[in-house]
Amino acid sequence: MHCNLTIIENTFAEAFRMWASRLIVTAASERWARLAARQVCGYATSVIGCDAEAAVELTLDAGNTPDGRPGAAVMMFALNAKALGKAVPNRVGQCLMTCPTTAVYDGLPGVSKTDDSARINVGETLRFFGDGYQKSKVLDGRRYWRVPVMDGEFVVEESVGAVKAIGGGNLLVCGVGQAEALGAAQRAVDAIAPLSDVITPFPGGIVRSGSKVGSRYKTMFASTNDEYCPTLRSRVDTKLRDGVGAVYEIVINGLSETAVAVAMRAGIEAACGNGVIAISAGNYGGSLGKFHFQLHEVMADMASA
Amino acid sequence: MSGYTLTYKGDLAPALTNGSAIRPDTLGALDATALANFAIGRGRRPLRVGDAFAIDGEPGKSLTVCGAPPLDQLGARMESGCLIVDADAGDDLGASMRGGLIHVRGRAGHRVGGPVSGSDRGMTSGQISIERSAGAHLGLRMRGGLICVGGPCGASPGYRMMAGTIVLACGPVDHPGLEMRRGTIICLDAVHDVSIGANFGEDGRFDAAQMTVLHLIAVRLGALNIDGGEALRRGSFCLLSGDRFELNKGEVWLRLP
Repeated sequence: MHCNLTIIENTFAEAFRMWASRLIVTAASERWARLAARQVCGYATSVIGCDAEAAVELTLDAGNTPDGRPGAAVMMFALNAKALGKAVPNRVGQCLMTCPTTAVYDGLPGVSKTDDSARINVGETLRFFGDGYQKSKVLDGRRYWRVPVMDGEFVVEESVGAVKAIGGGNLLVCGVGQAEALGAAQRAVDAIAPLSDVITPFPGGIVRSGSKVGSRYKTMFASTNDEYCPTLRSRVDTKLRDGVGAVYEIVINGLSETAVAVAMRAGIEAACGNGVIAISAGNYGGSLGKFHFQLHEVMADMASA
Repeated sequence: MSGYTLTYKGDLAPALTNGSAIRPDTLGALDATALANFAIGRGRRPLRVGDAFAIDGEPGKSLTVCGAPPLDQLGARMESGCLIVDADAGDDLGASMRGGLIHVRGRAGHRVGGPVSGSDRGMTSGQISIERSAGAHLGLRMRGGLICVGGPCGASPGYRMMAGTIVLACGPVDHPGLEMRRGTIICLDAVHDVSIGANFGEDGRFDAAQMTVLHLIAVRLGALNIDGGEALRRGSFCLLSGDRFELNKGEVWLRLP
Protein backbone atom coordinates (compact mmCIF):
# COMPACT_ATOMS: atom_id res chain seq x y z
CA MET A 1 0.00 0.00 0.00
CA HIS A 2 1.19 3.50 -0.83
CA CYS A 3 0.29 6.88 0.57
CA ASN A 4 1.69 9.94 -1.16
CA LEU A 5 4.79 8.06 -2.54
CA THR A 6 5.46 6.44 0.82
CA ILE A 7 5.08 2.68 1.32
CA ILE A 8 2.76 1.67 4.16
CA GLU A 9 4.16 -1.64 5.37
CA ASN A 10 1.83 -4.59 5.84
CA THR A 11 2.45 -4.90 9.57
CA PHE A 12 0.87 -3.92 12.86
CA ALA A 13 1.56 -1.82 15.93
CA GLU A 14 1.36 -3.88 19.07
CA ALA A 15 -0.17 -2.05 22.01
CA PHE A 16 -0.95 -3.18 25.50
CA ARG A 17 -3.25 -2.55 28.44
CA MET A 18 -2.49 0.47 30.62
CA TRP A 19 -4.46 2.59 33.06
CA ALA A 20 -4.91 6.31 32.53
CA SER A 21 -5.92 9.42 34.43
CA ARG A 22 -6.55 12.89 33.11
CA LEU A 23 -5.71 15.95 35.17
CA ILE A 24 -6.90 19.46 34.39
CA VAL A 25 -4.16 21.84 35.47
CA THR A 26 -4.95 25.55 35.67
CA ALA A 27 -2.93 28.60 36.60
CA ALA A 28 -3.17 32.38 36.76
CA SER A 29 -1.81 32.82 33.24
CA GLU A 30 -1.28 30.78 30.10
CA ARG A 31 2.45 30.92 30.73
CA TRP A 32 2.16 29.30 34.15
CA ALA A 33 -0.42 26.79 33.00
CA ARG A 34 1.97 25.72 30.26
CA LEU A 35 4.94 25.56 32.64
CA ALA A 36 2.99 23.57 35.22
CA ALA A 37 1.72 21.09 32.67
CA ARG A 38 5.21 20.63 31.26
CA GLN A 39 6.70 20.16 34.73
CA VAL A 40 4.27 17.46 35.83
CA CYS A 41 5.05 15.51 32.64
CA GLY A 42 8.79 15.50 33.26
CA TYR A 43 10.68 12.21 33.28
CA ALA A 44 7.59 10.34 32.12
CA THR A 45 8.40 8.87 28.72
CA SER A 46 8.21 5.13 29.24
CA VAL A 47 7.30 2.83 32.09
CA ILE A 48 10.48 0.93 31.24
CA GLY A 49 12.20 3.44 33.51
CA CYS A 50 9.63 5.96 34.73
CA ASP A 51 6.74 5.72 37.20
CA ALA A 52 4.29 6.84 34.51
CA GLU A 53 3.99 7.94 30.91
CA ALA A 54 2.62 11.45 30.76
CA ALA A 55 2.14 14.32 28.36
CA VAL A 56 -0.05 17.31 27.69
CA GLU A 57 -3.18 16.18 25.88
CA LEU A 58 -4.65 19.59 25.04
CA THR A 59 -4.26 23.19 26.10
CA LEU A 60 -7.49 24.65 27.42
CA ASP A 61 -8.58 28.26 27.26
CA ALA A 62 -10.10 29.93 30.29
CA GLY A 63 -13.66 29.19 29.26
CA ASN A 64 -13.10 25.44 29.33
CA THR A 65 -11.62 24.85 32.78
CA PRO A 66 -13.33 24.24 36.13
CA ASP A 67 -12.16 27.55 37.62
CA GLY A 68 -12.29 29.75 34.52
CA ARG A 69 -8.51 30.16 34.32
CA PRO A 70 -6.19 29.08 31.50
CA GLY A 71 -5.14 25.46 31.73
CA ALA A 72 -4.12 22.22 30.15
CA ALA A 73 -5.32 18.64 30.14
CA VAL A 74 -2.57 16.23 31.07
CA MET A 75 -2.85 12.46 30.76
CA MET A 76 -0.84 9.97 32.79
CA PHE A 77 -0.54 6.27 32.01
CA ALA A 78 0.80 3.40 34.12
CA LEU A 79 0.69 -0.38 33.85
CA ASN A 80 -1.97 -0.77 36.53
CA ALA A 81 -4.22 1.26 38.79
CA LYS A 82 -1.96 0.79 41.80
CA ALA A 83 1.10 2.15 40.03
CA LEU A 84 -0.93 5.06 38.71
CA GLY A 85 -2.23 5.66 42.22
CA LYS A 86 1.34 6.21 43.40
CA ALA A 87 2.60 8.20 40.42
CA VAL A 88 -0.24 10.75 40.20
CA PRO A 89 -0.19 12.12 43.77
CA ASN A 90 3.63 12.09 43.83
CA ARG A 91 3.81 14.08 40.62
CA VAL A 92 1.04 16.48 41.62
CA GLY A 93 2.63 17.02 45.03
CA GLN A 94 6.15 17.67 43.78
CA CYS A 95 5.46 19.38 40.45
CA LEU A 96 2.10 21.16 40.77
CA MET A 97 1.65 22.00 44.43
CA THR A 98 5.08 23.61 44.23
CA CYS A 99 4.29 25.52 41.04
CA PRO A 100 3.09 29.14 41.42
CA THR A 101 -0.69 29.71 41.16
CA THR A 102 -1.68 26.23 39.99
CA ALA A 103 -4.78 24.22 40.76
CA VAL A 104 -5.55 20.60 39.82
CA TYR A 105 -8.88 19.05 38.88
CA ASP A 106 -10.18 15.68 37.79
CA GLY A 107 -10.35 15.40 34.01
CA LEU A 108 -12.42 12.19 34.19
CA PRO A 109 -15.25 13.25 36.51
CA GLY A 110 -18.04 10.77 36.90
CA VAL A 111 -15.66 7.80 36.73
CA SER A 112 -16.37 5.63 39.75
CA LYS A 113 -14.72 2.52 41.13
CA THR A 114 -15.57 -0.58 39.08
CA ASP A 115 -13.60 -3.48 37.62
CA ASP A 116 -12.61 -1.26 34.70
CA SER A 117 -12.11 2.03 36.51
CA ALA A 118 -10.87 3.45 39.78
CA ARG A 119 -10.59 6.61 41.83
CA ILE A 120 -7.10 7.82 42.66
CA ASN A 121 -6.68 9.93 45.77
CA VAL A 122 -4.86 13.16 45.08
CA GLY A 123 -6.15 15.99 47.29
CA GLU A 124 -7.14 13.36 49.83
CA THR A 125 -3.43 12.60 50.27
CA LEU A 126 -1.86 15.99 49.60
CA ARG A 127 -4.14 17.86 52.00
CA PHE A 128 -1.99 16.74 54.92
CA PHE A 129 0.69 19.16 53.72
CA GLY A 130 -1.70 21.74 55.17
CA ASP A 131 -0.78 20.53 58.65
CA GLY A 132 -4.28 21.01 60.03
CA TYR A 133 -4.92 24.33 58.27
CA GLN A 134 -6.28 22.65 55.13
CA LYS A 135 -9.91 23.27 54.28
CA SER A 136 -12.19 21.60 51.78
CA LYS A 137 -14.97 23.03 49.68
CA VAL A 138 -17.68 20.90 48.11
CA LEU A 139 -19.28 22.43 45.02
CA ASP A 140 -21.80 20.54 42.93
CA GLY A 141 -20.84 17.24 44.54
CA ARG A 142 -17.09 17.54 43.95
CA ARG A 143 -14.73 18.03 46.90
CA TYR A 144 -11.78 20.36 46.48
CA TRP A 145 -9.00 20.57 49.07
CA ARG A 146 -7.51 23.96 49.78
CA VAL A 147 -3.97 23.72 51.11
CA PRO A 148 -2.56 26.99 52.44
CA VAL A 149 0.72 27.82 50.66
CA MET A 150 2.86 30.91 50.49
CA ASP A 151 1.14 32.44 47.44
CA GLY A 152 -2.36 31.77 48.76
CA GLU A 153 -3.99 28.39 48.44
CA PHE A 154 -3.25 25.27 46.42
CA VAL A 155 -6.62 23.91 45.28
CA VAL A 156 -6.65 20.23 44.36
CA GLU A 157 -9.59 17.93 43.77
CA GLU A 158 -9.96 15.14 46.30
CA SER A 159 -9.61 12.33 43.76
CA VAL A 160 -9.30 11.79 40.03
CA GLY A 161 -10.78 9.09 37.84
CA ALA A 162 -8.65 6.31 36.34
CA VAL A 163 -9.75 4.06 33.50
CA LYS A 164 -8.42 1.15 31.53
CA ALA A 165 -6.62 2.51 28.50
CA ILE A 166 -4.11 1.58 25.81
CA GLY A 167 -0.37 2.21 25.70
CA GLY A 168 2.18 1.58 23.02
CA GLY A 169 0.34 2.38 19.81
CA ASN A 170 3.13 3.42 17.47
CA LEU A 171 4.45 4.40 14.06
CA LEU A 172 7.94 4.03 12.63
CA VAL A 173 8.80 6.79 10.21
CA CYS A 174 11.56 5.57 7.85
CA GLY A 175 13.27 8.40 5.98
CA VAL A 176 16.16 8.67 3.58
CA GLY A 177 18.12 10.62 6.18
CA GLN A 178 17.84 12.00 9.67
CA ALA A 179 16.49 15.39 8.59
CA GLU A 180 13.81 13.87 6.35
CA ALA A 181 12.71 11.35 8.98
CA LEU A 182 12.62 13.95 11.74
CA GLY A 183 10.69 16.43 9.62
CA ALA A 184 8.11 13.77 8.81
CA ALA A 185 7.86 12.64 12.43
CA GLN A 186 7.33 16.25 13.51
CA ARG A 187 4.53 16.61 10.98
CA ALA A 188 2.94 13.47 12.41
CA VAL A 189 3.17 14.73 16.00
CA ASP A 190 1.74 18.09 14.98
CA ALA A 191 -1.19 16.31 13.35
CA ILE A 192 -1.82 14.22 16.48
CA ALA A 193 -1.45 17.15 18.93
CA PRO A 194 -4.95 18.63 18.56
CA LEU A 195 -6.64 15.22 18.97
CA SER A 196 -8.29 14.46 22.30
CA ASP A 197 -7.95 11.21 24.27
CA VAL A 198 -4.36 10.58 23.09
CA ILE A 199 -0.85 11.63 24.10
CA THR A 200 2.62 11.13 22.63
CA PRO A 201 4.75 10.92 25.79
CA PHE A 202 8.28 10.96 24.34
CA PRO A 203 10.43 14.10 23.83
CA GLY A 204 8.51 16.27 21.41
CA GLY A 205 6.37 13.17 20.84
CA ILE A 206 9.24 11.36 19.09
CA VAL A 207 11.50 8.44 20.13
CA ARG A 208 14.83 7.72 18.50
CA SER A 209 15.74 4.77 20.72
CA GLY A 210 12.97 2.40 19.80
CA SER A 211 13.28 -0.77 21.83
CA LYS A 212 12.70 -4.47 21.52
CA VAL A 213 11.72 -6.74 24.38
CA GLY A 214 14.67 -8.42 26.10
CA SER A 215 18.42 -8.25 25.66
CA ARG A 216 21.53 -10.39 25.60
CA TYR A 217 22.22 -8.99 29.09
CA LYS A 218 20.31 -10.57 31.96
CA THR A 219 19.59 -7.28 33.74
CA MET A 220 18.05 -5.55 30.73
CA PHE A 221 14.44 -6.28 29.84
CA ALA A 222 14.42 -3.86 26.92
CA SER A 223 17.19 -3.04 24.49
CA THR A 224 17.76 -1.27 21.19
CA ASN A 225 15.54 -2.21 18.27
CA ASP A 226 18.49 -3.44 16.19
CA GLU A 227 16.35 -4.42 13.20
CA TYR A 228 15.62 -0.72 12.64
CA CYS A 229 19.07 0.71 13.42
CA PRO A 230 20.58 1.91 10.12
CA THR A 231 24.17 1.40 11.28
CA LEU A 232 23.55 -2.31 11.93
CA ARG A 233 22.08 -3.08 8.52
CA SER A 234 24.84 -5.52 7.53
CA ARG A 235 25.11 -7.23 10.92
CA VAL A 236 21.49 -8.04 11.80
CA ASP A 237 18.36 -9.31 10.10
CA THR A 238 17.36 -5.78 9.18
CA LYS A 239 13.83 -4.65 8.49
CA LEU A 240 14.94 -1.48 6.76
CA ARG A 241 14.22 -1.02 3.10
CA ASP A 242 17.01 0.06 0.80
CA GLY A 243 17.77 3.74 1.07
CA VAL A 244 16.46 4.24 4.63
CA GLY A 245 18.99 6.26 6.61
CA ALA A 246 17.09 7.09 9.81
CA VAL A 247 13.96 5.97 11.65
CA TYR A 248 11.87 7.74 14.26
CA GLU A 249 9.12 6.19 16.33
CA ILE A 250 5.99 7.94 17.54
CA VAL A 251 4.41 6.25 20.54
CA ILE A 252 0.73 6.92 21.09
CA ASN A 253 -1.12 6.21 24.32
CA GLY A 254 -4.87 6.65 24.28
CA LEU A 255 -8.07 6.15 26.20
CA SER A 256 -9.57 3.80 23.59
CA GLU A 257 -8.64 1.70 20.57
CA THR A 258 -10.53 4.14 18.38
CA ALA A 259 -8.61 7.14 19.75
CA VAL A 260 -5.27 5.41 19.11
CA ALA A 261 -6.28 4.33 15.59
CA VAL A 262 -7.52 7.83 14.71
CA ALA A 263 -4.24 9.31 15.93
CA MET A 264 -2.19 6.72 14.02
CA ARG A 265 -3.87 7.45 10.74
CA ALA A 266 -3.62 11.23 11.30
CA GLY A 267 0.09 10.73 11.96
CA ILE A 268 0.65 8.49 8.93
CA GLU A 269 -1.17 10.89 6.63
CA ALA A 270 0.92 13.82 7.81
CA ALA A 271 4.23 11.96 7.75
CA CYS A 272 4.02 10.47 4.26
CA GLY A 273 5.71 12.35 1.49
CA ASN A 274 8.99 13.12 -0.21
CA GLY A 275 12.02 11.66 1.57
CA VAL A 276 9.93 9.21 3.55
CA ILE A 277 10.46 5.73 2.15
CA ALA A 278 8.11 3.80 4.41
CA ILE A 279 5.86 3.90 7.43
CA SER A 280 6.11 0.82 9.58
CA ALA A 281 5.13 -0.09 13.13
CA GLY A 282 6.69 -1.85 16.09
CA ASN A 283 5.50 -5.24 17.21
CA TYR A 284 6.86 -8.23 19.01
CA GLY A 285 5.10 -10.93 17.06
CA GLY A 286 1.98 -10.50 19.15
CA SER A 287 3.60 -11.66 22.40
CA LEU A 288 3.56 -8.37 24.29
CA GLY A 289 0.18 -6.77 23.88
CA LYS A 290 -3.33 -7.73 23.01
CA PHE A 291 -4.14 -4.68 20.88
CA HIS A 292 -2.95 -4.97 17.28
CA PHE A 293 -3.31 -1.98 14.99
CA GLN A 294 -2.82 -3.20 11.39
CA LEU A 295 -1.51 -0.26 9.40
CA HIS A 296 -3.47 -1.25 6.29
CA GLU A 297 -6.69 -1.48 8.31
CA VAL A 298 -6.02 1.86 9.98
CA MET A 299 -5.57 3.42 6.53
CA ALA A 300 -8.60 1.61 5.12
CA ASP A 301 -10.67 3.05 7.98
CA MET A 302 -9.50 6.42 6.81
CA ALA A 303 -10.59 5.75 3.26
CA SER A 304 -14.04 4.68 4.38
CA ALA A 305 -14.42 7.43 7.01
CA MET B 1 -36.81 21.14 32.48
CA SER B 2 -40.23 19.52 32.38
CA GLY B 3 -42.45 19.38 35.43
CA TYR B 4 -45.58 20.70 37.08
CA THR B 5 -46.59 24.29 37.70
CA LEU B 6 -48.78 24.85 40.73
CA THR B 7 -50.73 28.13 40.60
CA TYR B 8 -52.31 29.24 43.84
CA LYS B 9 -56.08 29.62 43.61
CA GLY B 10 -56.10 32.85 45.61
CA ASP B 11 -59.11 33.68 47.74
CA LEU B 12 -60.78 30.46 46.68
CA ALA B 13 -58.03 28.42 48.34
CA PRO B 14 -58.24 27.28 51.95
CA ALA B 15 -55.67 28.74 54.31
CA LEU B 16 -52.28 27.16 53.86
CA THR B 17 -49.17 28.15 55.78
CA ASN B 18 -46.90 25.12 55.68
CA GLY B 19 -45.32 24.14 52.37
CA SER B 20 -43.10 21.30 53.61
CA ALA B 21 -44.89 18.78 51.39
CA ILE B 22 -44.16 20.83 48.29
CA ARG B 23 -41.03 19.10 47.02
CA PRO B 24 -40.10 18.36 43.41
CA ASP B 25 -38.57 15.00 44.29
CA THR B 26 -41.84 13.64 45.72
CA LEU B 27 -44.54 15.55 43.80
CA GLY B 28 -42.74 15.49 40.46
CA ALA B 29 -43.05 11.72 40.14
CA LEU B 30 -46.85 11.67 40.57
CA ASP B 31 -49.38 11.70 37.76
CA ALA B 32 -51.79 14.65 37.63
CA THR B 33 -54.60 12.85 39.50
CA ALA B 34 -52.36 11.58 42.26
CA LEU B 35 -50.82 15.06 42.54
CA ALA B 36 -54.23 16.71 42.92
CA ASN B 37 -55.06 14.24 45.70
CA PHE B 38 -51.73 14.55 47.49
CA ALA B 39 -52.22 15.75 51.08
CA ILE B 40 -50.31 18.94 51.85
CA GLY B 41 -52.03 20.09 55.00
CA ARG B 42 -52.74 18.47 58.30
CA GLY B 43 -55.61 19.39 60.58
CA ARG B 44 -59.31 18.87 60.99
CA ARG B 45 -59.88 18.86 57.26
CA PRO B 46 -57.30 17.20 55.04
CA LEU B 47 -56.00 19.63 52.48
CA ARG B 48 -54.90 18.41 49.07
CA VAL B 49 -52.74 19.96 46.37
CA GLY B 50 -55.79 20.27 44.09
CA ASP B 51 -57.71 22.23 46.77
CA ALA B 52 -55.16 25.03 46.88
CA PHE B 53 -53.50 24.97 43.47
CA ALA B 54 -54.39 24.78 39.81
CA ILE B 55 -52.14 22.13 38.29
CA ASP B 56 -50.47 22.48 34.92
CA GLY B 57 -47.71 20.51 33.21
CA GLU B 58 -46.47 16.97 33.43
CA PRO B 59 -44.35 14.81 35.75
CA GLY B 60 -40.73 15.92 35.82
CA LYS B 61 -37.82 17.03 37.94
CA SER B 62 -38.88 20.66 38.12
CA LEU B 63 -41.74 22.06 40.22
CA THR B 64 -42.89 25.68 39.97
CA VAL B 65 -45.11 27.33 42.59
CA CYS B 66 -46.84 30.54 41.49
CA GLY B 67 -48.75 33.17 43.41
CA ALA B 68 -48.84 31.42 46.76
CA PRO B 69 -48.67 33.25 50.09
CA PRO B 70 -45.28 32.94 51.82
CA LEU B 71 -45.36 29.27 52.74
CA ASP B 72 -43.07 27.99 55.48
CA GLN B 73 -40.70 25.04 55.01
CA LEU B 74 -40.88 25.02 51.23
CA GLY B 75 -38.49 22.35 49.91
CA ALA B 76 -37.75 21.10 53.42
CA ARG B 77 -35.77 17.83 53.42
CA MET B 78 -35.74 17.90 49.63
CA GLU B 79 -33.13 15.62 48.04
CA SER B 80 -33.18 16.34 44.31
CA GLY B 81 -34.95 18.22 41.55
CA CYS B 82 -35.60 21.89 41.07
CA LEU B 83 -38.13 23.95 43.03
CA ILE B 84 -38.97 27.36 41.60
CA VAL B 85 -40.96 29.69 43.83
CA ASP B 86 -42.49 32.44 41.70
CA ALA B 87 -43.57 34.32 44.81
CA ASP B 88 -42.26 35.01 48.30
CA ALA B 89 -41.23 32.08 50.49
CA GLY B 90 -41.91 31.91 54.22
CA ASP B 91 -39.59 30.80 57.01
CA ASP B 92 -37.40 27.69 56.94
CA LEU B 93 -37.02 27.56 53.16
CA GLY B 94 -35.04 24.43 52.25
CA ALA B 95 -34.78 23.34 55.86
CA SER B 96 -32.45 20.34 56.22
CA MET B 97 -32.30 20.15 52.44
CA ARG B 98 -30.05 17.35 51.14
CA GLY B 99 -29.80 18.10 47.43
CA GLY B 100 -31.37 19.74 44.42
CA LEU B 101 -32.00 23.35 43.64
CA ILE B 102 -34.39 25.98 45.00
CA HIS B 103 -34.88 29.31 43.29
CA VAL B 104 -37.08 32.01 44.83
CA ARG B 105 -38.07 34.91 42.58
CA GLY B 106 -39.24 36.99 45.55
CA ARG B 107 -38.20 37.20 49.17
CA ALA B 108 -37.57 34.46 51.74
CA GLY B 109 -38.16 34.40 55.49
CA HIS B 110 -35.96 33.45 58.41
CA ARG B 111 -33.58 30.47 58.70
CA VAL B 112 -33.14 29.74 54.98
CA GLY B 113 -31.32 26.38 54.71
CA GLY B 114 -31.50 25.88 58.47
CA PRO B 115 -32.55 22.77 60.36
CA VAL B 116 -36.07 21.40 60.38
CA SER B 117 -37.77 21.66 63.72
CA GLY B 118 -36.23 19.23 66.18
CA SER B 119 -32.99 18.81 64.24
CA ASP B 120 -29.59 20.39 64.77
CA ARG B 121 -28.56 19.97 61.14
CA GLY B 122 -29.19 22.59 58.52
CA MET B 123 -28.96 21.93 54.82
CA THR B 124 -26.20 19.51 53.84
CA SER B 125 -26.12 19.85 50.07
CA GLY B 126 -27.82 21.51 47.11
CA GLN B 127 -28.32 25.13 46.17
CA ILE B 128 -30.74 27.86 47.21
CA SER B 129 -30.89 31.14 45.34
CA ILE B 130 -33.12 34.05 46.33
CA GLU B 131 -33.56 36.98 43.98
CA ARG B 132 -34.69 39.52 46.59
CA SER B 133 -34.22 39.62 50.37
CA ALA B 134 -33.96 36.98 53.08
CA GLY B 135 -34.70 37.03 56.81
CA ALA B 136 -32.50 36.50 59.83
CA HIS B 137 -30.24 33.53 60.55
CA LEU B 138 -29.79 32.63 56.90
CA GLY B 139 -27.89 29.30 56.72
CA LEU B 140 -28.45 28.53 60.40
CA ARG B 141 -26.42 25.41 61.32
CA MET B 142 -25.79 24.87 57.62
CA ARG B 143 -23.54 21.88 56.89
CA GLY B 144 -23.02 22.10 53.15
CA GLY B 145 -24.35 23.42 49.86
CA LEU B 146 -24.66 26.92 48.52
CA ILE B 147 -27.02 29.80 49.35
CA CYS B 148 -27.08 32.98 47.26
CA VAL B 149 -29.14 36.07 48.09
CA GLY B 150 -29.60 38.87 45.57
CA GLY B 151 -30.98 41.41 48.05
CA PRO B 152 -30.29 42.28 51.69
CA CYS B 153 -30.66 39.71 54.44
CA GLY B 154 -31.49 39.86 58.15
CA ALA B 155 -29.21 39.54 61.15
CA SER B 156 -26.53 36.89 61.58
CA PRO B 157 -26.35 35.06 58.29
CA GLY B 158 -24.39 31.82 58.74
CA TYR B 159 -25.14 31.67 62.46
CA ARG B 160 -23.57 28.47 63.90
CA MET B 161 -22.69 27.43 60.35
CA MET B 162 -20.68 24.18 60.12
CA ALA B 163 -19.78 24.12 56.41
CA GLY B 164 -21.04 25.28 53.06
CA THR B 165 -21.04 28.55 51.15
CA ILE B 166 -23.18 31.69 51.47
CA VAL B 167 -22.96 34.48 48.89
CA LEU B 168 -24.63 37.78 49.82
CA ALA B 169 -24.96 40.33 47.02
CA CYS B 170 -26.27 43.23 49.13
CA GLY B 171 -25.47 44.74 52.47
CA PRO B 172 -25.54 45.95 55.10
CA VAL B 173 -24.65 42.65 56.73
CA ASP B 174 -25.17 42.28 60.45
CA HIS B 175 -22.71 39.93 62.17
CA PRO B 176 -22.11 37.28 59.52
CA GLY B 177 -20.80 33.91 60.67
CA LEU B 178 -21.43 34.36 64.38
CA GLU B 179 -20.32 31.15 66.12
CA MET B 180 -19.49 29.56 62.77
CA ARG B 181 -17.15 26.56 62.85
CA ARG B 182 -16.32 26.12 59.18
CA GLY B 183 -17.72 27.39 55.91
CA THR B 184 -17.51 30.41 53.67
CA ILE B 185 -19.52 33.64 53.70
CA ILE B 186 -18.91 36.10 50.87
CA CYS B 187 -20.23 39.66 51.06
CA LEU B 188 -20.14 41.17 47.57
CA ASP B 189 -21.51 44.60 48.48
CA ALA B 190 -18.52 46.92 48.69
CA VAL B 191 -20.59 49.92 49.76
CA HIS B 192 -22.70 49.08 52.78
CA ASP B 193 -21.25 48.28 56.17
CA VAL B 194 -20.62 44.83 57.53
CA SER B 195 -20.57 44.62 61.30
CA ILE B 196 -18.27 41.91 62.51
CA GLY B 197 -16.85 41.40 65.97
CA ALA B 198 -13.38 40.74 67.34
CA ASN B 199 -14.17 37.04 67.28
CA PHE B 200 -12.99 37.19 63.66
CA GLY B 201 -9.34 37.80 62.85
CA GLU B 202 -8.29 39.77 59.80
CA ASP B 203 -5.94 37.89 57.46
CA GLY B 204 -5.49 40.73 55.03
CA ARG B 205 -6.42 41.97 51.61
CA PHE B 206 -6.43 39.66 48.60
CA ASP B 207 -7.25 40.08 44.95
CA ALA B 208 -9.76 37.51 43.80
CA ALA B 209 -7.28 36.52 41.08
CA GLN B 210 -5.12 35.06 43.82
CA MET B 211 -7.83 32.92 45.41
CA THR B 212 -8.72 29.96 43.23
CA VAL B 213 -11.61 28.93 45.45
CA LEU B 214 -13.40 32.21 44.63
CA HIS B 215 -13.05 31.35 40.94
CA LEU B 216 -14.59 27.94 41.55
CA ILE B 217 -17.54 29.55 43.33
CA ALA B 218 -17.82 32.11 40.51
CA VAL B 219 -18.03 29.32 37.93
CA ARG B 220 -20.69 27.60 40.02
CA LEU B 221 -22.74 30.82 40.21
CA GLY B 222 -22.44 31.16 36.45
CA ALA B 223 -23.72 27.61 35.95
CA LEU B 224 -26.72 28.52 38.10
CA ASN B 225 -27.32 31.80 36.21
CA ILE B 226 -26.69 33.85 39.33
CA ASP B 227 -24.99 37.26 39.16
CA GLY B 228 -21.86 37.93 41.17
CA GLY B 229 -19.35 35.81 39.29
CA GLU B 230 -17.61 38.82 37.79
CA ALA B 231 -17.14 40.44 41.21
CA LEU B 232 -15.78 37.16 42.54
CA ARG B 233 -13.23 36.94 39.73
CA ARG B 234 -12.12 40.55 39.58
CA GLY B 235 -12.76 42.13 42.99
CA SER B 236 -10.53 42.68 45.98
CA PHE B 237 -11.50 41.14 49.27
CA CYS B 238 -10.67 41.35 52.94
CA LEU B 239 -10.43 37.87 54.46
CA LEU B 240 -11.55 37.33 58.04
CA SER B 241 -11.21 33.98 59.83
CA GLY B 242 -13.31 32.83 62.73
CA ASP B 243 -15.22 32.36 64.87
CA ARG B 244 -12.36 32.32 67.39
CA PHE B 245 -14.62 30.94 70.08
CA GLU B 246 -15.41 27.99 67.86
CA LEU B 247 -13.11 26.00 65.52
CA ASN B 248 -11.79 29.19 63.88
CA LYS B 249 -11.96 27.46 60.49
CA GLY B 250 -14.71 29.60 59.00
CA GLU B 251 -14.04 32.46 56.63
CA VAL B 252 -15.79 35.70 55.74
CA TRP B 253 -14.79 37.48 52.54
CA LEU B 254 -15.68 41.17 52.43
CA ARG B 255 -15.46 42.84 49.05
CA LEU B 256 -13.47 46.05 49.16
CA PRO B 257 -14.41 49.22 47.27
